[in-house]
Amino acid sequence: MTDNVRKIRLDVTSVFLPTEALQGQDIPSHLLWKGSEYTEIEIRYSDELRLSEIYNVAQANYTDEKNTLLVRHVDFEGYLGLLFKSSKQATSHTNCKVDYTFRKDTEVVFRSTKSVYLFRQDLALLEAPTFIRIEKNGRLDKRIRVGNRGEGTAIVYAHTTSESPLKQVQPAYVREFFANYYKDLTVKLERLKEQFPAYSDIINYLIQHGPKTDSSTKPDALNHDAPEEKLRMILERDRVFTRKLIEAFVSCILGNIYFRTLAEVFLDYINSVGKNRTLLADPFSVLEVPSGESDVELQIESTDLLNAKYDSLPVLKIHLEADEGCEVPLHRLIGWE
Amino acid sequence: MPDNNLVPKPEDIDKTFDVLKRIYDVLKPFDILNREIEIKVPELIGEYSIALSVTRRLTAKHFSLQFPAESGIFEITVHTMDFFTPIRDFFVFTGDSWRSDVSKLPNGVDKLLIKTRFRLPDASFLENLVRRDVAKEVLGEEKNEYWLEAQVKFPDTLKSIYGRLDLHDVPFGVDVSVHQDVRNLMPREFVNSLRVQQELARTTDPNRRLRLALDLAKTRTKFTGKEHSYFSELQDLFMPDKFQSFIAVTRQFKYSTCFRGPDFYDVIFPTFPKSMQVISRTNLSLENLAADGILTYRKKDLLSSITKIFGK
Repeated sequence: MTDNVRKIRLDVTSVFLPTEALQGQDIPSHLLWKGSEYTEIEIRYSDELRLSEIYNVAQANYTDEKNTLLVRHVDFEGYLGLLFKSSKQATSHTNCKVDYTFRKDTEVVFRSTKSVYLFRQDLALLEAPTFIRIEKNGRLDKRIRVGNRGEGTAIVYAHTTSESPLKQVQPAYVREFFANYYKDLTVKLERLKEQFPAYSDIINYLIQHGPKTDSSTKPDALNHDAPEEKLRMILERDRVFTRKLIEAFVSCILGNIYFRTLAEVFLDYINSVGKNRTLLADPFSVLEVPSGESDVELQIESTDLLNAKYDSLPVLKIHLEADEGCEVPLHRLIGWE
Repeated sequence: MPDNNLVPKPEDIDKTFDVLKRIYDVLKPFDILNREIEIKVPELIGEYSIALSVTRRLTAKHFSLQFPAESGIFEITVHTMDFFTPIRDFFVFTGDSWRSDVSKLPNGVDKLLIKTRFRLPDASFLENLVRRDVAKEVLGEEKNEYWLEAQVKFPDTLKSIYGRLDLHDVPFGVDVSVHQDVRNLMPREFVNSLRVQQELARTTDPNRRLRLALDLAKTRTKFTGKEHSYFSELQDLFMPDKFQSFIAVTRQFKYSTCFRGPDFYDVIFPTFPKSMQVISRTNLSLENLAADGILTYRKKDLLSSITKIFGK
């Protein structure tokens, strides 16, 4: 909403605040104007926001108290830059207002109010069965029901606890596929290094961070750092290299398909994407369930697209009864709502 | 109590373009009329132009300029300011450094424009100069609109050190989520037939295998046996020249390129990308200190392309 109260030789050309953002994301804002007929700029902001940086203002020329920034003078006329920090809120969605006012002495010469909608994931345990029966055909009579009630994407890590009598394992075919896929990929990437010697560092990084045979990734492992940024810059600039890099990856998948059927490759992807903006980090791990009765303890953790950790769901202790010994993928124990 | 930490310190600015400081320090004794820097960010090439007044006496004393090869300078041109006449070989590269030859200065010339072109090792200097932010996640059913925003951090300091600064094509990367779209558009029949195939491949019990084979035969659909073709066609959708047709960048930014998001190279899922990284660019200068833009991902168009693939 913009309410232009009165203009006196001041033309505000831009008031920027994003309309929506993930809770926890940095929120930039700026003002651009022509003219200098004002004595003060006031920015009032909601409690959910914290002012983190301001640009184009000397330290002596502003105050920031009780959610109100007062700027008496900017270094370079016509521009004020701001950076807010947001944080995870108790509610999964909230609207935050920022009010921008220019004053000349006591008179308001410009006012504008903007709002940013802050949202996040909200993973919830909807049903926690304590007993699951596994039939001969592998059908489960019940599932753990989990749902993301928030609007942000949840990346979910389901794993057995250290106390669990049954432990998750990676099926042999997964280990074999990754081992051979990685071997082929290494050969192709080494060849790519010969064609593009300037990119040797980043190709070495890709080789070193190849698939791990234990794909049970935990939230901490997914911190993308400087090499990712370097890779991004190269891919921006060099289309020939980008195409050859993608071809290397894709041809290794197709070349090792006899370890996995293409059906399974599709299913890896399908099983890793849940409903309502959820992603499952590990669709591969299985439980080797013996015939008869056994017990398992599961923990479900999650992050968002900012890699921020959320509280784990309560530990689930489940008694299993299987008609025959079988492999049950962990992800099949979870029903997404 | 005012928070003293709100104004970031520009202490690294000087180091950002070390070579420029050295050029400026050498030429300070002259009457500097104007200074400008232009950085072409994708190419990592900078051009530093200094206009100055000279006299023969001053040049003889101060113009024994020398810049080592490691400074990143690859070209220095000198022109007169009046008719923009080039003064050839005023600076010569000797193999290990750039040296000036004052004898090349014609009589009567009192104003020079010196343009130095140099290479930057990487784009890390941007972090010192510009604040860049993009939306990490946005909402929307038919389209997703990601916001982009750029702000110059220290305009006053930049003006006093460099005079005029133009940054061309500053890059911004947005991770556009595609996972839900790919997943939701795979037909249920197709997914079911994949699951039966998977189970058939894994089951060793002969009776069960027979039952599954019969299931597969009964549920034979238009999708059966075409997995390879679907796989290739879906991969094609995420090639830059195809995916860019689902993207539009507006306001003060323009589209540059796109490629598979970082999760693809994490290699735990060597199949389809969960996100596509889209690069957009904008220009910033002391006349244009902040910019904002919108990157629109036309979900509807990607969904209709996926539907077409499975519709065959």
